Amino acid sequence: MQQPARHASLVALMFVLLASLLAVAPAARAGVRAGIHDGGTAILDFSSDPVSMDPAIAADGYSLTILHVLFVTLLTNKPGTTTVVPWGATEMPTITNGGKRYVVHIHAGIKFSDGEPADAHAFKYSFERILIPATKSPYTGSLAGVVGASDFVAGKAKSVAGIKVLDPLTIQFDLVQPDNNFLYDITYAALSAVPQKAVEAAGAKFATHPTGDGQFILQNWTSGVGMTLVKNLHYFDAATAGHLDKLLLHTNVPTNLAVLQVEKGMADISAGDVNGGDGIPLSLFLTIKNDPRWKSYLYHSTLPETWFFVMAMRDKPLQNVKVRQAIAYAINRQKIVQILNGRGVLASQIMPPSLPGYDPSIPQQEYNPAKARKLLTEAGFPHGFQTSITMFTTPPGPQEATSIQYDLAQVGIQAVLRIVSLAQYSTLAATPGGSPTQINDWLAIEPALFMNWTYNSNEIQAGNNMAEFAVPQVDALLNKAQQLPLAQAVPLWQRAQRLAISQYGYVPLYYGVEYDFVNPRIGGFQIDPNFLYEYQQWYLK
Amino acid sequence: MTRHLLERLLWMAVALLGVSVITFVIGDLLPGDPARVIAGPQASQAVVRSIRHQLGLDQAVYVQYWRFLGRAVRGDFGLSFRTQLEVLPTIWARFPYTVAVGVGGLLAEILVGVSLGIISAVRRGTVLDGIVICTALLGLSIPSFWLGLILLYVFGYLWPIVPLGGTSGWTWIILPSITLGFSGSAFYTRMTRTAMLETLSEDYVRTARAKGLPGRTIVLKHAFRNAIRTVVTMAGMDVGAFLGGVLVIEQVFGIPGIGALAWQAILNEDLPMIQGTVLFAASLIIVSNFAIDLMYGWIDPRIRTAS
Amino acid sequence: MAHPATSALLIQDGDNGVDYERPLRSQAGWSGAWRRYRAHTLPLVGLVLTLLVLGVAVFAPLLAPDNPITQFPNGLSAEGGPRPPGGQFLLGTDSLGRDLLSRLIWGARTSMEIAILANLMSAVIAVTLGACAGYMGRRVDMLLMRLTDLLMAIPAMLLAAFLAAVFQPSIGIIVIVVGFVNWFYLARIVRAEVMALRQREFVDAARAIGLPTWRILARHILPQLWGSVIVYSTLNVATTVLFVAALSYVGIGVQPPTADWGNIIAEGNTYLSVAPWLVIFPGIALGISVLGFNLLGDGLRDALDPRQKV
Repeated sequence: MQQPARHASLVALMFVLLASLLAVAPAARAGVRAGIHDGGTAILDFSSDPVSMDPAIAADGYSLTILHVLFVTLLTNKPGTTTVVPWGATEMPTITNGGKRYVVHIHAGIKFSDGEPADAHAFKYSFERILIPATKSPYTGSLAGVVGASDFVAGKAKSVAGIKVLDPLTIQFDLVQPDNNFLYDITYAALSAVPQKAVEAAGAKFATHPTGDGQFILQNWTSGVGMTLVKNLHYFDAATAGHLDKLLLHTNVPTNLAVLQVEKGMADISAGDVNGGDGIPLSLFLTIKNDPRWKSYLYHSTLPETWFFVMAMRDKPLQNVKVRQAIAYAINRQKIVQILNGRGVLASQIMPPSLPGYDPSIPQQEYNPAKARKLLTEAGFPHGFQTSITMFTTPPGPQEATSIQYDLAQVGIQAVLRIVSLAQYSTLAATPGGSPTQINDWLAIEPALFMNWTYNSNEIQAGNNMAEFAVPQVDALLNKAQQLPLAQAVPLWQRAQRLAISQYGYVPLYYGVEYDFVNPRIGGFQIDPNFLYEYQQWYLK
Repeated sequence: MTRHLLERLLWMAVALLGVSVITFVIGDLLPGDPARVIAGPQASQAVVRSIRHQLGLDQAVYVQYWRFLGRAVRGDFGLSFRTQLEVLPTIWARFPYTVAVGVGGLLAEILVGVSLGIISAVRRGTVLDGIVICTALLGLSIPSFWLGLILLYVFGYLWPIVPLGGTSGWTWIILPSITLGFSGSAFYTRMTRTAMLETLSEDYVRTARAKGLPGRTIVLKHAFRNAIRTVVTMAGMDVGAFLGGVLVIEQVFGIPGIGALAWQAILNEDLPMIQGTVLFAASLIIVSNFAIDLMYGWIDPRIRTAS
Repeated sequence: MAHPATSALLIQDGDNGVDYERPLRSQAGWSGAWRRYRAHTLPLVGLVLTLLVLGVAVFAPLLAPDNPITQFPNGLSAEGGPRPPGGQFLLGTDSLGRDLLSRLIWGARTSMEIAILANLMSAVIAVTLGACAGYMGRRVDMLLMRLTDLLMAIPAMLLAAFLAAVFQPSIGIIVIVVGFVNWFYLARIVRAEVMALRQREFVDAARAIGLPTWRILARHILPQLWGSVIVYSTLNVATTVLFVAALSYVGIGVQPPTADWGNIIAEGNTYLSVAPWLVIFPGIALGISVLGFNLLGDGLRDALDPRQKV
């Protein structure tokens, strides 16, 4: 692999030299890098406002894509892949003490735009800020496994014992127990460094006027209207620096209008609210896909995202595994993918194909209403029963739920639909017994998340394991896997999943396929499995 | 007169208090735990408890209300659960857009409605009258979001003369105003027509006509002045329904007004923001009703003496 | 919610909106009303359209070619798009492969059910409260006026959205919510009329011979109110249909899979350039019914209250 790659870059270099010779003076001045011209402005249409530009507060995917170019984290995923690579760190952390101690060396010269260094102190300050209850951060959970975190939260300690600044460029984390997910945790935008002076000076205003150290700087944000990001000229790393001078983000543009704006060249991308493929509404998708004019505008990629049907296992009729199996047979998953106009791939299991732990030997669930009826009769429900399906309003959620409702009615199960807002949906999910069945999805690059949030009984309380799936054998495997290095965890996850899938607490529906509608003048566009968009890679052709 | 004014002001305050109670009670009924939503799914119970305490959610409802009221009279509606930003400045930032759409819509409504009404009254029984009546009926029968999307498609996409949604430049205001105004204009058309016809049949107008004054002068001088009273009353009664209409229009055109803000807040169960926007909208309606009341008295002195 | 201007249409004269000179109605008055009603074309058109819509609503099970919630495997193209009009599906299919014609026919039933029930509810509240306030006057009256002031100060759409977040939107809840945000204007009209009627000689006479209040209200006052109530409610059915459609547009209307004009039009809305049949046919259906009720209401107003006719 090494040789051809180097060869290719040589050819590219020669091509660039030739091109810059031909392209006369202006191109040479504009800073040419591997055929990429720097400069220019891209216009992005979003359908709502991001929540916050304070990394400790924002938890929505939309804010996160922007925070990703405003603040540097220690590690990140390699753009376009699920592989974790160093970013603010000089190399991957050294893990010692049986997987409980992580030592990270930080790049010298990372500076916030106010000149404060983004060093080990800044990271420690930022992490402790998240844990202080007054910050009201939704990320306390991701640091809960650090030694001394709970004492700090409770106000019993002045600082977190498990976060140590060894020298200004070295930080050390001690965990209560080994956790292979910690590497992924420190890729979260929330766990970037923040400048103490600026944070303390700005107070709550930091959320709208953040001082960052990423590839771009937030120049202004008018609530409801838009944001302007400009290139950070003092960004620390030439290899990952941004190319565009400016990103103009329009917020609150309905997606059906955003798509038309892209067609007209008034915007470069319809991004929706960065919620897995909602930039192109269902109503416009097929015309765009089938129109040769837009062929060069369409990008697509299968995301590490699994949609599944959840059945509360302690609910009366659903207690019976035969009833749950019947429902698995009754759901016409192919029809759902068809309703989505092919923006999904049938799922055989919860773990998506792009992540370690995916098990190709698990077969697809068969669609067989006759068998479903037979199973229901065996379970003592020959005429079905009444239940309800909860789903959130974001399209095409209601369509999916209506499709499943119809399938269930065909085998005699009468389900009432409860289409609720996302906020209500998550509270219902967090209430045990809140809803007998629902549709849900995970979108993440952490394999452990897919397994634990679905099948681990210690996630019931948090409202993630909504089926209240609790099989001691599965719990044991998952808890053990969590403490092992990734490669050794994979076989345990696979065993756990094989055990779990025959319990039918969850019916995997499909893996999400993201389509994006982007003006072809944008170069370097790539759908990223973690952030969807990697703005620093974009340039104008 | 002063007494009447003071009484009105007092009632305005009472009405606002009532609205605040209503929003608080409905808000209390909202399912779900805001502290859990803020803390995120992975947070421990201790963190959730702490946040609940910080927000005062562990207090009895009436204590919460009392605190809310104490802050609200000082113009402090608290922090948004979702963004942790102050509620009132956010509302003020969005307010100009709603005002622009509302005023634009009202102008469109009155201009279209009144002029159609005058035309149809003056040309009563002609084909023109028929066309006007049909247009008015059409306006009554079309859902505004439906009309809005079709207008956007035609004038924003097929023949792009205005922006495709959003708030760039000043031309963005045209389509939302027309959309909002079209449905309401029908009422003004009918009202103006009726009022005009009544006036036109009054003796003094007939006299004016007999004296040989040109038609246009009669219409403008006498009949129109009398029709105005009705229009002002209706405009006053309109404000509430209008704000509701603006809520839908803002969705269609992607306008970041307080309607869109309130709607997002309801979707996110962002209680302080819901309370803030509802109270803000209510104050707006109450104040403008009051203003209309004063204006009404000024236009028609008979009212003043009556009250 | 009802366009407040609707009520302004009824308030024609005097500061409390009452025509003191209006003659009392009788049997002869009703037949006279019908004579006046049928004398014009537009009201007749309105009557026909309204009967048509109501007929479709009542006979939906007989008229609809298919079950409105059946998701036909052949109702979607291979790629999963809706089918255009023609063949098995006369008006085409929707995004789930359901027959649009059947959905529109059944949708008429849901829409009419909601609009009529909600208006019945608000009429009952409005007449009860309005009549009490108007007849008893003073404290009761002031209380009602202030209450309507207060409720009118909250934009109905916002109030409905807020309520819908608390209560899961079912048809019953929608009827209650719409009915609840809907009675203020009618209550004010009724109050004004009752206030005027209270001063009339025949009420004085009834009082003089010692008839109890409830009897005066029921026997002598309420029959005089039907005209305004019917006119207002008819006009308001039209507004209600549009309001429920708007609720669906913002996602808090009738829940799937029940067919309702509001949710059909709200869902089809964005398909304008792709599947125009999903936008145009529901729009026409909605338009016809709203038009019908408006014309009917207009005609009734002119027929029941000849003095206003110009």
